[in-house]
Amino acid sequence: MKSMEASRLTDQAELKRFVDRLLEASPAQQTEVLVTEWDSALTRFANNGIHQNVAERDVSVRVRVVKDGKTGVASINQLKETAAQDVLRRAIAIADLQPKGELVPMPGPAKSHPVEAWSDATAAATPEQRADFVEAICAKAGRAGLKAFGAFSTGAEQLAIANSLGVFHHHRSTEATINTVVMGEAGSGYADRSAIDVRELDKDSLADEVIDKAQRNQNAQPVEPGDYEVVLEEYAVAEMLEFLSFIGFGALAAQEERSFMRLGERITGENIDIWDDGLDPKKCN
Amino acid sequence: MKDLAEAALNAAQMKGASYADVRLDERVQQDVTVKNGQLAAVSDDASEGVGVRVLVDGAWGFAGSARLDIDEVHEVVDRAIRIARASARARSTPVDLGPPVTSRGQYKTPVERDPFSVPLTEKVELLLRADQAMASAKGVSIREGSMEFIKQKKIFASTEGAYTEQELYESGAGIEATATSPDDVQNRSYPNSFGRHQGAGGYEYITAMQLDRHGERIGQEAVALLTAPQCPSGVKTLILDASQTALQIHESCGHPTELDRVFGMEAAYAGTSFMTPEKLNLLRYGSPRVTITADALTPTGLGTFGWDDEGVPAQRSYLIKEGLFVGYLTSRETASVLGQQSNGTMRADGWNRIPLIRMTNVSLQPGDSSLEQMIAETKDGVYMETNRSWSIDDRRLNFQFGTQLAYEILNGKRGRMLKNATYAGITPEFWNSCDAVAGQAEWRVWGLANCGKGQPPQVAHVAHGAAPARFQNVKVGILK
Repeated sequence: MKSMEASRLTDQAELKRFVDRLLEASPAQQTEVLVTEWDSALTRFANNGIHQNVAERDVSVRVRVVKDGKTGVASINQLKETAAQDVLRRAIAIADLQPKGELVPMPGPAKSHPVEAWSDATAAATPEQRADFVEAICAKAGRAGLKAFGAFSTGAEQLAIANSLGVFHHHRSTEATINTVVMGEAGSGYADRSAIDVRELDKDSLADEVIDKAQRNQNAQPVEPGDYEVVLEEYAVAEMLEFLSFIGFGALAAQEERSFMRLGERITGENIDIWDDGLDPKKCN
Repeated sequence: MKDLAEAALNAAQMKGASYADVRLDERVQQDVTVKNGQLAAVSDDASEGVGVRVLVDGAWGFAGSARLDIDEVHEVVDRAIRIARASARARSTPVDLGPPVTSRGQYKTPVERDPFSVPLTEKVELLLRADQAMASAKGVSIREGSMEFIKQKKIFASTEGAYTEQELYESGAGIEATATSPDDVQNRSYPNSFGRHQGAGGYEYITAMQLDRHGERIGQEAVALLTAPQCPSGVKTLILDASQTALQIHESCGHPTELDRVFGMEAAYAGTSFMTPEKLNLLRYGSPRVTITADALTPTGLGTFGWDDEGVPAQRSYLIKEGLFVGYLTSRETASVLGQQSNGTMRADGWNRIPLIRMTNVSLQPGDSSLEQMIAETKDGVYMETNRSWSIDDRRLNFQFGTQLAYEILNGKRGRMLKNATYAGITPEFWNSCDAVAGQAEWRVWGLANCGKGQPPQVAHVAHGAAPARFQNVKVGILK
């Protein structure tokens, strides 16, 4: 048995040839191809043992064509020539059936800002590594008289976007994520970690955090409803930000006046800054 | 395809699997969206692949790939076997699947009109007519309508000799009107909320909705809600429309009777359940008027099929019988723990996912009342319609729901329209307070195509038969 198994993503040059051939074959005035390919695995545990353990390799090829001012979109999950012809044909067919609408032109070539988000160690992570990591957390929880539940995933992904105006960008990334809930008879704790490089995940620190939280949370007492000063831990803050993004940070929601966000209006205290940074090298996304 | 399935099973057995199954899936999906009088988007998506699940040393391994050739199938089997061996290093107890399942046959969703043969122009014209109907209500600021069609062909085969082929169709549609003011946003949608009402069937399912006949009404209601009074707080009689009753069933009966949740298998994500095995056949879950079944044979239900993704035949079973908790939704693995056999609820949302216990068509059986009768019998209550928000704890006990529209009920008559209506409760207390369920004439099957569960996440399409129902002494509004 191999000790390491590299993620099997298509070679970048081969991916570019596939995209170029698809763009050349398109009869539309403008064509855009977005390819996302991933190879990922996830080990799930409950009651201090692994109960589900999965892996998948998949791809999405999404084609958008603009023909005579009409747009068509289709996707397929194959990187074969026949599949490329099929997805192009379907996108064209959809465009042909549409009424002529307002045309938003596709972007031309522009400078990109590459972000290093790849780890060979994560791409080559094995089921045995995930099992060992999980087993260590379960063993610690068991020794504390508690039960561990959660999921540990590792994966590699690449994304290529190209259009008939000469755009081609490629990005590849890896991610290792573990979330865990540890429960006793009368309370639980939660912790998670995420990293581009799986070697940065420290199972002992994660287990210590979640077990300590679960132990301190046994027989927690209810509080009366009322006004309190509340301290939220980082997981709660992150979840709140995620939900706020979902319901209101988008420009469309603001344009349609569905959002709590109105440009120039104060909506939080002066001590709050929230920003979006897709180039942050420390984040997985 | 059959050759690939056989090759996968042979390879798995040769490499040490005590059990293996393979699923080959092809799925096409079309989505059409109209917004503010314009065709906003049409997409046409296709996905195919193979998934292999194996048991080695009493532990599970699964792998899937989008590539459908013999070399890749062997790679997938190798990967699944290796994963299973790794699972065995840290498993709790060995998996016992119970008696073998040897189903064989073919199943196809009954379809009068194949939705993929209906011209796109016909779909768009219907949505635009509904859009125009919403636009006729002055003050509507955003109008949206959408349709979704799915066709899935799947082959299931196992080392126990099961081999089934299924061709499943879904059709769904919905419209939504949004009205805004400087300090408020209100929505009304039809037939249901969160995008669509969906069912197992063909285009006839769409035409039966008569979207264009309901556009003006929901537009007017969205606008009227902006100036409607807030739903008052208090303990009152609550009457739910059928669609909100359906979601109540989903969250407070469907999920807690999933046996994998009961055993903690979803504890880190979807949650657990208060309906633990020692309560089986003892817990008075609801009033005698409450009978809830899981029935994968219900016509047009999104949980209707020939066999589940373990090859177990579609069937009907009781979860709640005249108020008593009598059964779970089960898989082969979980049922055997209780000395039972699976009642066929294992479904995966594609070739690249393992099957999980999912609701089929979990339905509240019709009663002998009617909405009008329930209102006429109510002195001080609130009628609520169409879900707007939901929240329930991970054991499925404490819940709060919000609805798009409500009316006060005073002395047997429907009164003022109310906005931002919410209600809260504890699951068994709530269902034990149910004193009326409308009859067959108002009972229908509601499709719910956004049920999330599992890691990696899976979205199941399930359904609930429901009719309007009445509950006593319910906390309504925001209590202080």
